[in-house]
Amino acid sequence: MRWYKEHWRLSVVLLVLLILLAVTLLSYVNQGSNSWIGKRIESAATFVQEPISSGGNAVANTIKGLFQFRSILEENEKLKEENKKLEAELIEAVLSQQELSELQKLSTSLNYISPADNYKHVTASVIAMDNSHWFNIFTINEGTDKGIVKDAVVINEDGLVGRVYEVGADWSKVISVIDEDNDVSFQVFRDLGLLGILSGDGSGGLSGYMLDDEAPVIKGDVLITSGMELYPRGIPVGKITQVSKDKDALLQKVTVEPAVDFSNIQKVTVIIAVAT
Amino acid sequence: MKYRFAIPLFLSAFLIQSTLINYFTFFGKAPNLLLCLVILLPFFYEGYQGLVIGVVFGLIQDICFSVLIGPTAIGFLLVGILMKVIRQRLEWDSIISVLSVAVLGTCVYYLVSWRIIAVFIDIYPLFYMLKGLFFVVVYNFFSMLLFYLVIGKRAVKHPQDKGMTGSLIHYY
Repeated sequence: MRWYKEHWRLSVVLLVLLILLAVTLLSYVNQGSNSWIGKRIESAATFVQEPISSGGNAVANTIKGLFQFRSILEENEKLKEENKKLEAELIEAVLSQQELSELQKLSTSLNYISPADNYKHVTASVIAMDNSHWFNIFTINEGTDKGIVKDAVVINEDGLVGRVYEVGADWSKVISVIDEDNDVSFQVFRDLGLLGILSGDGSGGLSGYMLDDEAPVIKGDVLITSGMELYPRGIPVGKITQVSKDKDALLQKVTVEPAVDFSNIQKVTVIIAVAT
Repeated sequence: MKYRFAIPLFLSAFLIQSTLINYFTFFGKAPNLLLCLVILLPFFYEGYQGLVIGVVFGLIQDICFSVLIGPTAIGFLLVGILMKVIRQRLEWDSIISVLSVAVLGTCVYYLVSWRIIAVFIDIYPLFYMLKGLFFVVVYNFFSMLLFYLVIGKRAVKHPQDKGMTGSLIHYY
């Protein structure tokens, strides 16, 4: 006791350190289920971060628009060209559309439910993200009020972003697919019969292996989700950057560059499974 | 620095870091403003305000952006104590000192928090972390330099100031 009194500063530091270590251990055991206080803190932070983030977005987009005027004009010319091509393709598509509508009529008469009908989509804005932190975790401005649930899949216009890690009334915390230990099963877009498994490689990318060790995959192949696990089918995951053979494990390994730029996400769509 | 000044400073740093700073990232990295304050406040000012509020905001940062709650706060606590120790050995009113504490504080924080997280979760390899650390150190140094030039210099007493005590004699 006397020692503690004589070294009270050191005792306080050790006590705080012990408490913090205990908190770390507890949070590891109860991953993804924040305490009541934690949720209140996140709600309060979201309340302040949302207007700051939207203000920042508005200013950044205005400045970006001013500097990108020339490139926007060039893009406009390209789009006009593309539009001409698309008009030609549209004529061909009309014929296919007729076939499709006939098939749809048939599926209705057979009471077929499309997989797309099993999902609801909620669009949300990213309101807080910390690029200095270890994890690619960010907060979006929609929560249980809009039907978002834990583990709902999050995508953006480029592809698979991740899943909802924690959810509050009007906010959700999203963990990116590159930070995940959870496996993502994929198909190769070029040949949908080629299947494999991916997970975060711990350095901002994805890596995994093909189910068939002789699968003819090549660098540049685009991968999409296969729909076998948490993630619905058809979401772009990334592009293969390296194919290698692991002779010991008899596996064909693939290294994948994610389709999404995780350092710059502004809008996302949350896919919520609807009970049928 | 008093609590009534330190708390708004930390709060602003937290809000800017989680929202506006994302527009100023290079190579996917951003300065860690909270860490900058945890380094500078115990280094420039008497008292433990920087340390105490730093630990609290470390916890808040973990609650909002991490899978584990605690490693950031532990990192901030250790860096803050280190700065208190260094304070007695380095001259405050010098850009070289700011550079030294920026490099030392940033490296210690990232190594400590990386080590703690790596115990629990499969995270970046050390080599990958060190690669990104260079940009964070540079960023943090410039953020701290800005703080030093705008606010920090006022914390340093000069020989002509009233109330100079013998403890400040080594600044001559």
